Amino acid sequence: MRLGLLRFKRKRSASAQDLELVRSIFAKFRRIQKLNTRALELMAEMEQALGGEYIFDRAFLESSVRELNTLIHQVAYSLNAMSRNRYIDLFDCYQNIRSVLEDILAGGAGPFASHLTLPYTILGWELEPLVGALNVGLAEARLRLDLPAPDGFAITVAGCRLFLQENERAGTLSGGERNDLSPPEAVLPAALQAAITGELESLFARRGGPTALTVRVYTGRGHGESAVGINEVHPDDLLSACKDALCECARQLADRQRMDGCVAVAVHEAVAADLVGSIADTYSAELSARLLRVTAAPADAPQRTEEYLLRNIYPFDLVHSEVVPKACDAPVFPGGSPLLKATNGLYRGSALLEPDFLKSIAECAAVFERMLGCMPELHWARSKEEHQPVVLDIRPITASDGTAAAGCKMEEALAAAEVMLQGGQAVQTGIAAGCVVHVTDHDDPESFPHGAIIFTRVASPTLSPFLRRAAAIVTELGTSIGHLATIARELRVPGIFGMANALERIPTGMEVTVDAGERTIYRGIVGSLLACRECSTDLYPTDPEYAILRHLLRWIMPLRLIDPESSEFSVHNCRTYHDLLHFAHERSIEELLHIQDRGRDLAHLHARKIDLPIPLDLFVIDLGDGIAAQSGTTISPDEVRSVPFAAFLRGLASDEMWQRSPGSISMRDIFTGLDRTFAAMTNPPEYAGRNHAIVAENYMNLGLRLGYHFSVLDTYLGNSVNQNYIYFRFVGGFADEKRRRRRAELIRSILADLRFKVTVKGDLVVGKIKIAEQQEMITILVRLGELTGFTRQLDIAMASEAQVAELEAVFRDKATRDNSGEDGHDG
Amino acid sequence: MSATIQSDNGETRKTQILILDDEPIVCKRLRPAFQKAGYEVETFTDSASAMARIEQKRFDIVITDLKMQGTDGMRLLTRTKEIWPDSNVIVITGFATSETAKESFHKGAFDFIAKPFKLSDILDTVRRLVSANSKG
Repeated sequence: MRLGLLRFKRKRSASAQDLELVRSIFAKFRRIQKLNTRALELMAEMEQALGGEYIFDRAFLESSVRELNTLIHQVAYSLNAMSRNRYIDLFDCYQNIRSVLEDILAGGAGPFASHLTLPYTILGWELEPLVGALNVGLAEARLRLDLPAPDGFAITVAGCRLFLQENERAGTLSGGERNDLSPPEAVLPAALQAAITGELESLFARRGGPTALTVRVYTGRGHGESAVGINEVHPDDLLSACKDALCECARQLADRQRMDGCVAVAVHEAVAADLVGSIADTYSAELSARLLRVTAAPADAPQRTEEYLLRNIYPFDLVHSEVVPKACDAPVFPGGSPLLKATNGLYRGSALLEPDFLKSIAECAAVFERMLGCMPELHWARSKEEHQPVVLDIRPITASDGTAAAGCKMEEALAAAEVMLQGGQAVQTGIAAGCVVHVTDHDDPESFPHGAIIFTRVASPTLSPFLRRAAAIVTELGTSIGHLATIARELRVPGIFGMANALERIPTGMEVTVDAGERTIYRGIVGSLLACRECSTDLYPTDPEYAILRHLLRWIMPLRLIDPESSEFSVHNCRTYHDLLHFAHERSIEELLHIQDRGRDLAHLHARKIDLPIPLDLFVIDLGDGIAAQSGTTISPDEVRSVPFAAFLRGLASDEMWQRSPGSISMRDIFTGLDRTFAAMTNPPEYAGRNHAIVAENYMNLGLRLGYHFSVLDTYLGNSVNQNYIYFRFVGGFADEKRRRRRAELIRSILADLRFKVTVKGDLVVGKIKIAEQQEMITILVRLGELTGFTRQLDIAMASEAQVAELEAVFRDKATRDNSGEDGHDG
Repeated sequence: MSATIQSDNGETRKTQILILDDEPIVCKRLRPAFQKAGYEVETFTDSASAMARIEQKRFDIVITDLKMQGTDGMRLLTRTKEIWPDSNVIVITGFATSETAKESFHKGAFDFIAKPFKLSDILDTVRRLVSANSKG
């Protein structure tokens, strides 16, 4: 008797510990969610600061990073606390990112500073000090701005420095004079050779094979100097060409006595061109207006340069041209024809560039103007084959320092302008004018005209490709923290989100001017307002604060670890704080899924039975606020306070869905049932055979064994849309493999219809859904309750493939009837 | 809302604003914003120069950061109110606490704005102030 009492006490004590353990795991999960929410808010604030609407300083950047560091550290701690230190490497990952962020804040160049070469695929404005404006401009044009530009890689400032140092050490710089360096004596350091060769292989892999290359030297930063010497080289001669280019770097530095200046080399695909030229901002005294000056010359005859003047706003009309007379046998542009024969026998009027091509060049320049805050000097080439402009160089002019604003008469500029709409949120400040085009998710981005203004109902992420071509974007719904807003800021496209009635008031085809900072749309092209862009208060890549913020965000915002099922989803692949947060979030959910395994004896002492109107024994363990405080040893459904549990029970107990009659079992079913494997139902909890729900106010973890199948439902429903999720797993059945597979297919189809991401392996169905409003999740949980009741023992009845569709239709019909009953009741 | 005010001799002139922030980016972005809205603006990134300017000239509105090297914003606020009691001071700071806010208001600040802030917020504050003064 004493022994029995002792055993009971021990069991009771162990059980109490288990309950505390489960509660502790759940508390850590909740903590991760709270930390996650705050970290994402903070990241959004930092990202929004790029949009130009906020005034911030270094103190903001420092305090934001400091708080973010603390939050991420606590996330790593909490995940390890709930998983028995399974993710200890997360601390190293956090420490690495933290060190990078602190280095950037302290004025460092970040982890790429020591790289000898960098591919264009990772370059951005913030890395300009490492690779020069030439490389960054080409990379940005190609990757971010969707403009035609060659792919390639940079030999970085560090690579150039290594070359100079090694040659000084080797004595190949005779008497220390860098300008005496001759290529045959120079040594390309082994590390640099290896880096160049590696980059070349990667470039060829990206381009689908070897290609002719161009090697160019960049010296100086903001001094108007850029490419010096353009040489087309065969890939086999690349190392030699790079050595020549680096020698040229040394000469340029020595000539300018700027030993520590910014020198870099660009290695990119060669562009086979028939015409080359430039486009830049100019002032026409004759017309008293700022215009775009385009020059063009045959690639093999640079002395035969022609000049064109265009309006500097969309649609960039041609104002004036200086066309060089051509020989009678000179080809004209496709579709063009000589106008008249001059007295000297030459043709006049055969311009090298047709109007559409001029417009294309102006559009390229306008995109860079939007990015940089001023019209750069852009060098282009016309590809021989496609006759398209290709960006060859961008030489940024220093952006406005704001002093021009004193002369900007904004009130006068707007005196005659008609305001059509005001409101919404500015997601990216800026002023743009153009033609309105109404856009939906189903439209083809390729058909959207460059320089037009997007008007759309919802700020959907699927519209991102349109932004690369748009002058501005206006949406009726959406906020400044969504994905599309992030892309608009990334591309610096002026945007107003949440502007009511925009589509109704402003039809496709109308010309308007959008002032996103003022959240105002004016009728027509308001030239005087566009002229005020020069007095902009925006942040630009040329501002150090912009560069620092963007550099910081590079290690904070991008989310690359997306698929938790992928083998890439690991601690070691967490490159940013966002990756780390997402990893911890997914793994914390996984830990919760096994919560029933952790609390082994909970069922015996802490579980209370819930009295349901269906023949089901279900035991409930309350982690806190899931069941009414005054409830007794048996719980009634109206005492359930857990939001997800209440929703699920509503569906489960539905009269329409619960199959009360036992399924008809044939002898064949019995034999195949005895024979089948239960391998899929791995690691059943110790309280196998009983159904348990572990609940809290916004949480439910449910393990159900109905007949011979086992289903798990894990869900959290809070006020934060981003944290809501439902995980549903269903496996097993009594019938033969075919019938079980049919039931799995039925469940898959119904889950997919409910927007679940579903995977099926044999009779195992796994469905996940996340990021949804609480109300939508509640509706889904009711459906899952109904589905659980409906599919119970259904495998036995599924004798043919056709029954999958038939039963799906029956379920939908019953669900509809159930809904109408609810509606009627509510009404 | 007009950015002009009526001076004592009955003439209309632009509202004059002094901005002090040791972070150049703040001055660089605030100056054109106020100029475009029709105000006359002088910006300073060192507090000693701003203090010297205050001693020379009365500004209708002074916008100052709090935490800076040398003379801090609180000192500029105090001195401004000493010599130009009818000038209005707006405090902007990245280190906002209830104590510094309380102290600022106690010393006569018109408003206290925590960084980061929206450009439209500070423009609205100044418009509000100009409007209140013109009615008063």
